[in-house]
Amino acid sequence: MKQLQEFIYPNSIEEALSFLDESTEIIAGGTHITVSKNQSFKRLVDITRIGLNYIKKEDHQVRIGSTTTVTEMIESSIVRKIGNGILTKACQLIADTPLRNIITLGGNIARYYPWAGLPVVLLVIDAEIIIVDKEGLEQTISATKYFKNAKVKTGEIIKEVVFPVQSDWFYRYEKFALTTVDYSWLTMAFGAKNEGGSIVDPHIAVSRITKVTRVSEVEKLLEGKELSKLNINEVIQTLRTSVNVVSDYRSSKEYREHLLGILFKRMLNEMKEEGK
Amino acid sequence: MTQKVFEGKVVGKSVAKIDSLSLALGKPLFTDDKSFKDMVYVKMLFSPHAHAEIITIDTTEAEKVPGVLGVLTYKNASQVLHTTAGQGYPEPSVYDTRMFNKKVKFVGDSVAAVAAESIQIAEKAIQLIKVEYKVLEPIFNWDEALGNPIIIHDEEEAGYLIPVFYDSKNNHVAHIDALVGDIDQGFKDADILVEKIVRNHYAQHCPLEPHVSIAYFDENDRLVVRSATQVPYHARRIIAQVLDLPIAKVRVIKPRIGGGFGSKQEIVTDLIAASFTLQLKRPVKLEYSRREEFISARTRHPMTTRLKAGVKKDGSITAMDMRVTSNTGAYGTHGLTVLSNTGSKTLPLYHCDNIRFIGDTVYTNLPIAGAYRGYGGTQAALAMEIVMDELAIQIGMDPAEFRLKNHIKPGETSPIFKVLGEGTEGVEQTIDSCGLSDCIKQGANAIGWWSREDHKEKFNTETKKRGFGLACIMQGSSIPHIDMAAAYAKMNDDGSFNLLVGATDIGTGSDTVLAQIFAEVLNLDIESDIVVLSSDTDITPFDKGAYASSTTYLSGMAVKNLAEKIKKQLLDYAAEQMDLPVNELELVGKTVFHLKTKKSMSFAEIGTKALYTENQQQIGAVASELSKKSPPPFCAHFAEIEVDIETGKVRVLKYVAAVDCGTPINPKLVIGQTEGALVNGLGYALSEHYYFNAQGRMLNPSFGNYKIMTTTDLPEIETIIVKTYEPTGPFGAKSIGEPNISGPMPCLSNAIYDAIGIRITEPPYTPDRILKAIKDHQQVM
Amino acid sequence: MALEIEVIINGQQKVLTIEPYDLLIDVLRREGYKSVKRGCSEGTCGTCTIILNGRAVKSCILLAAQAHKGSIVTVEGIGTRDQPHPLQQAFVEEGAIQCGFCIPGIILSAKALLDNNQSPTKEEVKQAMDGNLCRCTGYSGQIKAILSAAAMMRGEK
Ligand SMILES: Cc1cc2nc3c(=O)[nH]c(=O)nc-3n(C[C@H](O)[C@H](O)[C@H](O)COP(=O)(O)OP(=O)(O)OC[C@H]3O[C@@H](n4cnc5c(N)ncnc54)[C@H](O)[C@@H]3O)c2cc1C
Ligand code: FES
Ligand code: FES
Repeated sequence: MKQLQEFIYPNSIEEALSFLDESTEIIAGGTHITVSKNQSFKRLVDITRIGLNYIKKEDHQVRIGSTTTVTEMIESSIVRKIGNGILTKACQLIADTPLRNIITLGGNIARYYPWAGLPVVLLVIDAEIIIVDKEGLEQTISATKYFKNAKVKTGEIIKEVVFPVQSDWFYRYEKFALTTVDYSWLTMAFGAKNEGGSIVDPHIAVSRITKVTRVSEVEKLLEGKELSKLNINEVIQTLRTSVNVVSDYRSSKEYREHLLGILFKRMLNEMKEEGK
Repeated sequence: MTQKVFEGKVVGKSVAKIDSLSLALGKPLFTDDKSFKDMVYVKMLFSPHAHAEIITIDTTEAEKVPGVLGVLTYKNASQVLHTTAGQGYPEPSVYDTRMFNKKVKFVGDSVAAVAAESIQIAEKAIQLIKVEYKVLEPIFNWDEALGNPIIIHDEEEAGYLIPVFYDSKNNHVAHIDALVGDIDQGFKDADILVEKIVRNHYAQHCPLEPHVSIAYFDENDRLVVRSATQVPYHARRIIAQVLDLPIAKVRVIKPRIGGGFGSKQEIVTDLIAASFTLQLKRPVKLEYSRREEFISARTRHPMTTRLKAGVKKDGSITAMDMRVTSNTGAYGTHGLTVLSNTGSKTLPLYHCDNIRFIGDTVYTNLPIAGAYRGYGGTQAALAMEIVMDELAIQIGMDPAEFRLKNHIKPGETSPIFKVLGEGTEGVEQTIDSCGLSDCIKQGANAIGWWSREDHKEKFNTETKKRGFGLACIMQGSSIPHIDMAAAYAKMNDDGSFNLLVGATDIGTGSDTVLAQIFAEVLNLDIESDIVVLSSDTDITPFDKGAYASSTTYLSGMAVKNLAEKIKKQLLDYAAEQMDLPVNELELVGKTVFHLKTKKSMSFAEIGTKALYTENQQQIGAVASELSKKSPPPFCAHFAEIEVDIETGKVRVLKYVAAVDCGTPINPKLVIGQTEGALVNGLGYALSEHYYFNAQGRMLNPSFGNYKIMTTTDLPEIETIIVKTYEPTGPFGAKSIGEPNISGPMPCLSNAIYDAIGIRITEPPYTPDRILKAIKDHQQVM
Repeated sequence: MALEIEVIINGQQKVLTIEPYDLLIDVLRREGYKSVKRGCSEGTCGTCTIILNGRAVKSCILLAAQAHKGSIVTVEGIGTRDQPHPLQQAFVEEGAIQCGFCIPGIILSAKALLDNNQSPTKEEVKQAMDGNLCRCTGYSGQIKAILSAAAMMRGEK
């Protein structure tokens, strides 16, 4: 990192924005900045002191500032209400305690990390990401749109994420890994409404086995289906074929496809149980 | 049979480890905690190829970088053939290693080293070294290495110092063939035969402190190497040998060490740091990064073990035939001795008159295997304990009953002790202490063994199946007639003692255990009366080092001998001073006491008088010990697990280890050794794994991707100490450092079988492998 | 380009001159806080754990510049031989220390926990230690020691 020449402590978003250019990088928790190789930036702008550390409860939604740490989210009783606790659960399964103490919400979604725990949660909750662009203008982007690219542009800052609180929804989150503190083998989240025994507005998101994505084929298939009459095998088959599962050295494509189906089957069964 | 146990004043008590407060306070005690002025930093260039010839190596650009002080390659470094194994001399390991080679033999082999003013400069310079390789075809499958047309080692002069088999033309590092009784008859006599082939995997020791050496010249221009080593004396000898220095010109200091587990029984960083110091006359540091530890330090020998055994319906074992192919990787360090240990640390455990052992160690183009806690015992126990389980099940006997019936008992011997030693023939011995029956019984109760069927029925679901497993393990204590330990002590004015031991405390607590033994004989307080200094080759007497489970047993005996000698000196001195017959004197508290007259002389009085006024002399002595046998510690492991048959995930719910280490000199340290080893063993069984790509490069060289257990992975663990008394050990003690690492792999395999009826013989038991086994099994059915 | 940071280390106000790319672990060791150990440099072993502004963090994946205006605690700062911190005392008493290389980091993770939670459960203790590897002990002595130190700090021992 010897090429790094400057470290800036701005006091506001505007000031931070004014420093951003091609050879400048934002630093939040810094857990990725410090370990990643091949860096070319000459200047770092620390955004942890510009007032982006907050968790605000509003009517039916929660705003979380981008430099809020994973631990702060875990400790928050407001966050526990988001997605019936799946955001809290996802946070608890990120890395380990001293890392959770520094990893930030923004840092977990600003770049694409295959193992990142939060993107699938944002996807199934229909979160919105508020980005401030070079001119200081705020843009609101839906998680679904954002994660198509999964990268904020140079010169822009993720300001906050807005989470709707939909406590009447069913939500599940799963990180499957070899040990408790491990990069995930498969990450997935599921959210849907149970209206009189039928699935409404299902959201399914997976990552690690493929680039983080929602699985619209299965969402379509499930829409309006009665839970009690669900052909779970068909659902699983569709899921396995609609996700482009890649293998990695830890586990084969076949195993990951199998796992994907099993984990989703269990989520659906739990939804059935809960509805009873 | 109730066995004698020893209860001491200090021995048998969990006194606090003498260095533990300093460690808790964060004192600068480790190799790299001392600052040196003008330090030079070294970075290594490792081979990216598994097998290649260096055609050209051009270091000119690297040398031009400002701040670069020197570059070592095969062209200018010492070319003395040696072994990196820190073993007694002559080593039972092959001399097949040079500091740098023209031909590289695994991804991670040393190609060059750069010394520079800073680590960043060295790193930059490394990238500027231009190497042209001619890539050669590698061998990765150890089962195909013997007689393979690809020859890995082509040094003409490579060979052993001792007269044993070596055939590099066939990649054949070691061969052992041992037979007792009549194996064919044994199999004929059997009612049932069981044969299993198991394959264990690569793994690393992962001491949290990596290998690190700092070499410098002292004021008298002698070479000092401050090293994270388990074997300071062997390190000194090998440094002198390879760098062509008189031993007297070399001093090795071992500060506190951040764990070793066998990996630091190897000379890994010392030679390069020392070479640069000789060249540059400055302090030089070489510290491996975590990645370098994984790819270039040492690993556990992966093996293929075939075990065939016969049993009669009454449960008696008629024959055992063990065939082992051990992969030593690119160099043969510990290749012979780990191989012989596979047999010698498992086959004596059960009664059997007809035993055959054939073992071969082979080279491959994979990372170097070396000494690793368990030392062959771990690998063979996988085969042994799976086969014992299967034998019991096949004749309809409970696996615990089967072991109770068959395991070696006090007063018995095994023919294997004589025919298999460490590299050479072994030493006949009878078992004087064995608490394995009690270990099995108490462990079984603790896990709920006898009610396991009800328990399983209660908790099993459609997708989650419970299972119970058992494994019994033995090891040894020291290498008889080979390794020597010595200790020295002197008395100070106030009656306190300096205890100087060659024994190498690498975190095990051996300094404390040795102080306890010393204190027991002389009625001393550990905290106030004894100052322990260990392993500085200029100051402390010789000791082979921390390996082969010998520190408590062998170094402990040396310290006991020493304390006895000093006790005699104290009695003689006091007898002369008080003018009383020496045979009427005894030690009471910290005095020499005469019962009849109630006269006494305190240690402080003796200390002061002996140094300053009366019959002046240094009270003190040196003593040593060479062991005559290697009494095994025993343990019984039990596990309760749950297998998720849809995902293949194995969860360990409870784990019990019942251990017999003779007299537990310090019970808390015994528990620490037991649980540290078994948690390492659990990780090895479940998640620790080297993933290689098709070119032989390790894909997961980091703690992020090589998963050792953390707190949240732990099952409930219970350790039970079964006390026995080993008459040849200090106050009845044997060893405990090694056997517990070997239990989890077979124990969990047996538990998986109990849960789902499938024998898994290729660890680690990762979800994908278990699921595949389940699917394969379903297809067969 | 060198910069100056103000930090409080173990209660002492300091101004340190650093390079922007200096890692916090390197600066702390350079300043003599050798209890901060380097086991991996990748944020995965926990031996470099310190307390920064009340939280346990890994100093090998933080730039020193990030600690500007922060308050740092290393294990050197929490107790002395005559007056060890209850955690240091409990670790010694429970035999929870073998090689000791992991210990400063573990004690600080534990301290950060106990400073925020006087009566943690065993599960909470395990959770707080999940970023600190120990290869020697198997952890159970350490978990006991932390619970015992908590009791000491509550005045129950
Ligand atoms: C050993 C280890 C294990 C890990 N395990 C997991 C895991 O299991 N699950 C998981 O989810 N994560 C895990 N992580 C974390 C993950 O890999 C990233 O390091 C982390 O999410 C980055 O967050 P940060 O706050 O530290 O970001 P930084 O390192 O500060 O920044 C990361 C990137 O995001 C940019 N950035 C940060 N914040 C903003 C913002 N507000 N606006 C615009 N750009 C921004 C930065 O410029 C930089 O490019 C692990 C990390 C480590 C080191
Ligand atoms: S050195 Fe920082 S986590 Fe390992
Ligand atoms: S005591 Fe050695 S790593 Fe923990």
